[in-house]
Amino acid sequence: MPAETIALTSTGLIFAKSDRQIAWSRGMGERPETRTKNGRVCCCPNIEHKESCVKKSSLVIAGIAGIMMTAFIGTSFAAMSDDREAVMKDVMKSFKVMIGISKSGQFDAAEVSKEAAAIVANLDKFKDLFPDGSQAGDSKAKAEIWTDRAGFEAARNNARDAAVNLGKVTDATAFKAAFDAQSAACKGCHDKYRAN
Amino acid sequence: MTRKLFATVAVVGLAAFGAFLWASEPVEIAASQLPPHTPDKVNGEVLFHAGGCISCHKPADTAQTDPNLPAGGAPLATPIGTLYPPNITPDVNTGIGAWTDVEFVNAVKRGISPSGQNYVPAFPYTSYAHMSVDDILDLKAYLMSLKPVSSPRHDTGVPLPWLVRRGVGLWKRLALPETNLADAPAPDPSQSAAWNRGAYLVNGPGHCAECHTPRNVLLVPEAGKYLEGGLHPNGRTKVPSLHNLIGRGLFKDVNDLADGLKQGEEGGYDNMSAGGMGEVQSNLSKLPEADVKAIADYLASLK
Repeated sequence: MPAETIALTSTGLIFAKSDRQIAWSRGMGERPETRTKNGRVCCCPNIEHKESCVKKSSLVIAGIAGIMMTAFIGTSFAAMSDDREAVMKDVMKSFKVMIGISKSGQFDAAEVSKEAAAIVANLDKFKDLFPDGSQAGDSKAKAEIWTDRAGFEAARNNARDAAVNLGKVTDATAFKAAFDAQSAACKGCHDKYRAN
Repeated sequence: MTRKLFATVAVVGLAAFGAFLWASEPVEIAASQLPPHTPDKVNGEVLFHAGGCISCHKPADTAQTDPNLPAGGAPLATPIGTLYPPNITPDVNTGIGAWTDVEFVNAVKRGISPSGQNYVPAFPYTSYAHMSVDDILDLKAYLMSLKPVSSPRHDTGVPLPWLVRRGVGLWKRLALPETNLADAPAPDPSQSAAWNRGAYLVNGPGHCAECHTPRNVLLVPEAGKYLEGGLHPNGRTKVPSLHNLIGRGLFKDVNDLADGLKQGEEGGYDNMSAGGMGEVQSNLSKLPEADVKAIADYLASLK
């Protein structure tokens, strides 16, 4: 992983000993010293210091390492927001099939049952896509998902139960009622936990 | 030499400040200019939904207050700081209960508060300026009929508010349309009544242009690019153009567009929930069927 390599290399560079230091530690040569602008003495490898006792180059490398680590972490959580969106888009696909059935008036038990099962499976996937600390990078997930985890879970369960019921309907009247309930359950979660 | 320089700078500075004050003076409507009007609360309610008032003026704490009452206080992030939309229920102390008709008209149509200060144009009065005074008074009558909620005004998160509000006065010279006091733009006689109704709803209370018209660097909506889309006020995402919606295949026909506005995501219209559109659609769904169809007629006609 590039981030770890850079972190290790920069650590090595920060703590590497200069030749003068090595010689002094063997009893030869003078103690290597460097003075900063305001007279402070640094006992570190003799690369130029101006104001502080930290190697300038090591600062740059540590900085790059930091950025890469953050980017690495950020990217993995940003990917999570894509996953969440993909799951919801898939739910919308099933939803649209059922809207088509509802508009056409031709109740198709097999189709409805299949799409309802797909919604249940997607909502199960959705459960694991909001681990602690993963809000960054997702502008549509409201903070309430994490601060009110119980409420979020309840809303998700509600939508899942509605989908399970939807999968069991056997006639057009039951379908209409169950489908309306599904819409309401989806909306209930979105209203509270999805940002505009 | 320095004394002369200092004196010159001071005089020029004072003159500039004076010019700034003069140019940014709010231009109010006088009570004598208001036509006589019998308020219609029912029409007021339609305008409340068309205007999307609850979307900004919703209560901060929906556990304590009915979320359908515009008690205000919910934070609204803007490029100049966080604003807290005020309480527009008829509470006398913390809401608009003591407001006169002309104060309400000046607020909605000119963006001027009863104390004579400019409102930050997050309050979309640049669009509401296109509403008729009659409609604004009907809206006031509806608001006055709601249950009063005590919800004190929250200080704005805008730095140097007096200066910013004064500066808005300058901005208004560029951005606030010089509309005739009495009415919205005259209807187009070559178009149907429905189209004209749709045009009025979109341009006035609907304030669609606030998001769907791109703005220049001074945040003034760009003339000549009406409803052509651009950068979202959130600074990150894009707002779509509303031109040629059917030609571009976004909707099958006018009825499909009307259904989309009325049903939104629940009707399978998955482009009706992003970027604030969900709240808009939720308000539109409360309008009479004929008004939603009128909006669709107007939008569908934009080439």
